[in-house]
Amino acid sequence: MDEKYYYGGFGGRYVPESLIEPLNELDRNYKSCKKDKNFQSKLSDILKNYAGRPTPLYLSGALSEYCGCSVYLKREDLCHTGAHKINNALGQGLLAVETGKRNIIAETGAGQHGVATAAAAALFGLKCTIYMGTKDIKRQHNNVVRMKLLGADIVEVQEGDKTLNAAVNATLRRWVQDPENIYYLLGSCVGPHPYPAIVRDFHSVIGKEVKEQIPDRPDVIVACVGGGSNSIGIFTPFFKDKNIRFVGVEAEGCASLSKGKVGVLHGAKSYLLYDKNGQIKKTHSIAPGLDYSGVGPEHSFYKERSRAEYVNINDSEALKAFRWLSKNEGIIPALESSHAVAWVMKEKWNGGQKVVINLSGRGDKDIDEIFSMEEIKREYE
Amino acid sequence: MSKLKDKVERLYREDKTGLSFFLTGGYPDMESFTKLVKYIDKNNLADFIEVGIPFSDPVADGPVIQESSQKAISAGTTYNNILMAVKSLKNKIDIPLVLMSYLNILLADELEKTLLTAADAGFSAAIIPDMPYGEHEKALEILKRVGMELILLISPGTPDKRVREIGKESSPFLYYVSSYGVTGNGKKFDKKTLESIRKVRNLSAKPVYCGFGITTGKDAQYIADIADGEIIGSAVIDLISENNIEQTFNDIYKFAINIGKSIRE
Repeated sequence: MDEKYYYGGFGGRYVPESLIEPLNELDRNYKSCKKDKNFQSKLSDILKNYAGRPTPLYLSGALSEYCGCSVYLKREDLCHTGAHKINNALGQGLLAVETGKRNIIAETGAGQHGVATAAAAALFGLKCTIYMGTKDIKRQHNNVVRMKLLGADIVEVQEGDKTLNAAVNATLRRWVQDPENIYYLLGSCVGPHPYPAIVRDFHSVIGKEVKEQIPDRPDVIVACVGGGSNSIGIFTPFFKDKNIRFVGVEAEGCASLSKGKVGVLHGAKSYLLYDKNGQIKKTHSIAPGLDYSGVGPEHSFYKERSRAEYVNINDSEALKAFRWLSKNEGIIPALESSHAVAWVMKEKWNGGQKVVINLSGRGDKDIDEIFSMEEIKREYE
Repeated sequence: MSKLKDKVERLYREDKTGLSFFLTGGYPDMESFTKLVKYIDKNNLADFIEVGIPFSDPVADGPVIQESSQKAISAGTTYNNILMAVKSLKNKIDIPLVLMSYLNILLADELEKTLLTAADAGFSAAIIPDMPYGEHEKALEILKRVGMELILLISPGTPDKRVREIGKESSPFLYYVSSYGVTGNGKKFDKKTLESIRKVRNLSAKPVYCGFGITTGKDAQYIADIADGEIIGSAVIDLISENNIEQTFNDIYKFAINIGKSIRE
């Protein structure tokens, strides 16, 4: 076991032998790009002029009044393509270009990572194939159409749980077949080393901006956790300031950190949901981006060290927050981000506190699904 | 010395190509699975059998093994009941058995405990496809303690230095993944495959068994030129009829005779 692939005891490279060399190559390429000023300046330019960064840090009047403290929203929902996912897709897309790979594959759950990857591929002129579970294709139809418009091929994954889990399996299997020519653009801080580090680094721009934008410093930072990319992105730059409380909000039906055990899935040792026989459990969440049985290894490390608290919110609480924020603040949050909002609304605060919620994405993608629920449809008609 | 090691070394000394069949544990059902093991043993159709533990997320497997795994899991197959079935064959069969399991199955209980159960059931060695060299130390140490060996995989892209290192740890043979990709049919073998196997043989003192994608007698014959042994999985699973065990016996018998001829003549 090589310590440098681990966060405490979590992470590693639990993959078929065929992927070890490709991961070594990725590691080398990433390290050299990370140090390369030219790469970094290209990326900053794209993030600014293409993705729309920096995103605002908005002091929400409605939420502040409701909670009785200062609640800030980090507006990742305003990013190009509608979520934080674009930060990583552009970073890794540029990495693929710099290392001569023209063929990109990616998994997607909610479709946000798929859309971001398809956009990055269109921008850089790369071939793009997105793997997506049957269940997600149905409930995120809008994103499927967007990916197609952006020129990506969609491969429907019909096996397993037909959601993100199965999509990751299918993408890994495809990568194993041709690792020399394919770049696997993994969408969360999960998977074998170096992916969790790469994804974290590309998203840490979120936390860095908050640091500059917020008067003084935050007391609490809250973000939803599926695989954990938006949360690790906002947490990381504040890691050393132990007085800042980190809260990761999972969906109740896929709360690997609050309800799981340590296991190995998709290349990493981390907290996972599995049964007594070792089979990965099927999960459920109204928010497809949180509907995953595992979580990034660095979050397991945060949990073990008590650096972050991990809590969970159920579907109806998330839905309530989704509607509340839409109506009272004029911002339609993604169902994923609504989990973070819901937790903040539930918690008791005292007046002087500064709470930052990472509003990781916008809710346009969720509207069809929500309006397919009879009781909601009736209410708005 | 383990039954498996004994067999592999004897075949190597006698310059005979070894042959292993893969079966998905509990597929098509537990009773038929144990009958298949006995049948292969009684008729000497293979030199050893690899028993796969079905896993919900088998990233190294192609559609055939995935489907058999999914069916076995849906029918309630678990690690423990496969091991119990295998254990019940202990003094009734002679053929060595290799455990093939993804790591999470083995971690569901203490690793010490799950591997000890495997040794106790009669397994000689383990293959853990998502635990490559570098992540293997702890499991290897436990396997040694319980009297089992660890078979590590090598892929066409594994650099020479790493092949040498893996060669030292893997026993009684090295498992060469014949081409990039997952298990399953329809791979094309060419001179590059043979050269690659030859290279691995030169870099290690251990026998090299080749697997992933060997489907026909022609494939088997081609690979047998260089490899010390062959492992056939998906092509065997493909022959299993879900409701007619006699048919399965017939088909596997014919298949094994054909492969046997191809590799030993």
